[in-house]
Amino acid sequence: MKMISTRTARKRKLTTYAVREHGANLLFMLPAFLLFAFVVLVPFFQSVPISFTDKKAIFAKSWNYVGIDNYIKLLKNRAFLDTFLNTAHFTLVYIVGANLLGLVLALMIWRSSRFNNVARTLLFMPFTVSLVASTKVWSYVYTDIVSPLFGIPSPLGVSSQVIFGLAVIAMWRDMGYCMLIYIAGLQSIPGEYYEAACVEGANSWHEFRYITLPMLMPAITANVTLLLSWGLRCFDYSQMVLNMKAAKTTAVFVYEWIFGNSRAGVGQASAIILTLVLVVLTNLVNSILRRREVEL
Amino acid sequence: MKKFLAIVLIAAMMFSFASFAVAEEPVKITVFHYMAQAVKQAGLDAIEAAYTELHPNVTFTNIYYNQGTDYFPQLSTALSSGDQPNIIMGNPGLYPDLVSEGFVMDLTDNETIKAMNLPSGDLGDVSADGKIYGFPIDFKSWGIFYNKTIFEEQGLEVPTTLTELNALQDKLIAAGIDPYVRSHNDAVYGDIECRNTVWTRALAAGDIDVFENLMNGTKKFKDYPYFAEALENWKMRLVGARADDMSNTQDMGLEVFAAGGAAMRYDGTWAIGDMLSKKPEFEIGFFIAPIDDEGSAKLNVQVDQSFMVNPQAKNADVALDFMEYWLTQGVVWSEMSQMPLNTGVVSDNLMPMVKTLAEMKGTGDIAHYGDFTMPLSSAFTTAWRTELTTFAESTLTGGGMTVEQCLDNLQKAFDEVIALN
Repeated sequence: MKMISTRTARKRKLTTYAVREHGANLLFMLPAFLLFAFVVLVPFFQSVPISFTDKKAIFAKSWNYVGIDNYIKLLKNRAFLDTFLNTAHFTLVYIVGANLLGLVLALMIWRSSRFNNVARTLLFMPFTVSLVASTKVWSYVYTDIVSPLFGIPSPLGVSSQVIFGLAVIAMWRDMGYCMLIYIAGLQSIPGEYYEAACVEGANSWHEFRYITLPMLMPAITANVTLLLSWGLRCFDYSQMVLNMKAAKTTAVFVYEWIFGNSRAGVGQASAIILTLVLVVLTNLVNSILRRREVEL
Repeated sequence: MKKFLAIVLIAAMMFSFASFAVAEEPVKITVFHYMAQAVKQAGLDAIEAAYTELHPNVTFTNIYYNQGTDYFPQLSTALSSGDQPNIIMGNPGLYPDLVSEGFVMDLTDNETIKAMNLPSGDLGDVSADGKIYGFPIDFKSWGIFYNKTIFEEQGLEVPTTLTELNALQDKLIAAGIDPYVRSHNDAVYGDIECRNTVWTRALAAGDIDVFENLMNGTKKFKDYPYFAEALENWKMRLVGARADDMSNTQDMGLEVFAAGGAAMRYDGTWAIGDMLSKKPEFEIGFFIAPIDDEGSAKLNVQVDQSFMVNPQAKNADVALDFMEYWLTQGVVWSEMSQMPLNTGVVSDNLMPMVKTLAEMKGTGDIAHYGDFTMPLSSAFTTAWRTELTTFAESTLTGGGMTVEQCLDNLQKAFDEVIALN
């Protein structure tokens, strides 16, 4: 009896502590969450019912409920499914490219020095350029520099190369961001590990393979997850080559059908399918990568 | 009695002051438009300034969005949020939801429009379901612009038949000159390259419901032979590819053309002002692309600037008055934008080429888009243009897509849209 009452008291104490701790965390999170809920969650849930209607323009005042018709039509529609393939293609090239470049750059300039600090700033700068501006600049780079220099057409005008051409723009813009996260990861690895490995006779590749890479897993998880969600939502890059079927992403399809084609019901259903795919894939990749992380 | 008269006089004076105050109450008119060309934007400013001079209390705010990407989305958002523009640019047939939701004024009985005695095509272009909803200010056409200097240097004549055009292209290629500079980053170019054959042949055959039938699926592309003919004609012009043809935007293509980088350019008349703004001394000529050796090609005409009045916005009467002013007194606009007016009024300050276009339209021997029962809607236009751009890419890069394959792709794309509609 006495034992039970001690346990209960400890439990109560723990609960009070947990509530106090989590409560404080929640309070800190509340302003950001409210903003997020206001601009993302509430509009999203408000728009879900529209996906079950035949609503045309977004300003239309009347519509009919059509059940899951829009979803069935979309899942049977070749044009819609093709946009998923394009999106996946872009995302894959973009994630691999931006991460590899970011990692290589980070490995080159992670140590602090005056030159490295300047280089980091310069390499991060493209990330501060707007997406629209960077795509405009790159369209001239491809046409006026790459084309005459190599005697090839701009990749933005060739279906088989357009995704790669767009991914290069995205890589150029975001590799600096990846680099910064990798630099933070590299700087947090204790130097003793490398010293011990050196004593054991490990070469540079061994150090990278068995120390750097495993210790960088949290940074890799962060970069891959983030770029995965950015890639799947890719809109701006695809918009610049609207007429290229091979470059049309799902986000552009959503925009076209909700607004341009005045079929808000169909467009909203496609948006929900995209959101579901994005949530499932991001969580899946995140959980797989987290399992490989090493605790310091 | 005196007292009574004094009261009446004071009341009358107060009333007149009040009326004056009402008349002079500031009015702000918002114009939503998609005129990308700088000269057209200057033309809009000019016609608005002329109206403001007559009505000093009226001021204008112009809101521009790119038609291909965000014009209608931004307009939809504005209308949904209750932020009502007074004047909306667009062809009512392309924006049927604006009509059905009551965002555009019915102008069927508008006396000013009636008094202009406009041809059926002009009115058709600004109508939907048999009612007039827009003011048809001016018209556009398309064809081949050529660099007169290059033509003179090479001793070339303007071709009048398909055979002559092909021979001319070959001569240019043999002389090491790019025959055309294209801008297929903008999907409209594939579309306008095919229109001449399709519109001319369809109207001649009496197929005024061709687009309606394709959109409702009752007819297929292969049911109309002129689609294949249009692609064949276009394919003949898709020679001497430049490395930048597929990636050039309209502006980039115009820059190359004005700089003498190519002898010809298939473009719309809307680009005339911009061509000259890039190089004021540029000597350009224009001819309608031949579609056969019999001279069947006709000037294509489509209302370019069509504006609708929003009855749900404040000061709709002022917006209506301004549009009537623009339609009847549009010379200021025409001179600035170098756009030919639908009213037929021609200013001395227009380029000779623009005057010629106005005269050609005046003859009535034209193929007018407004004479079809229905224009292609936005979703079908996108599908049509995307497939044509794919065809251009394949032809220019040696991909070898056949006309037959392009027609199949077009049909598939239309079927996909029909399935989602």
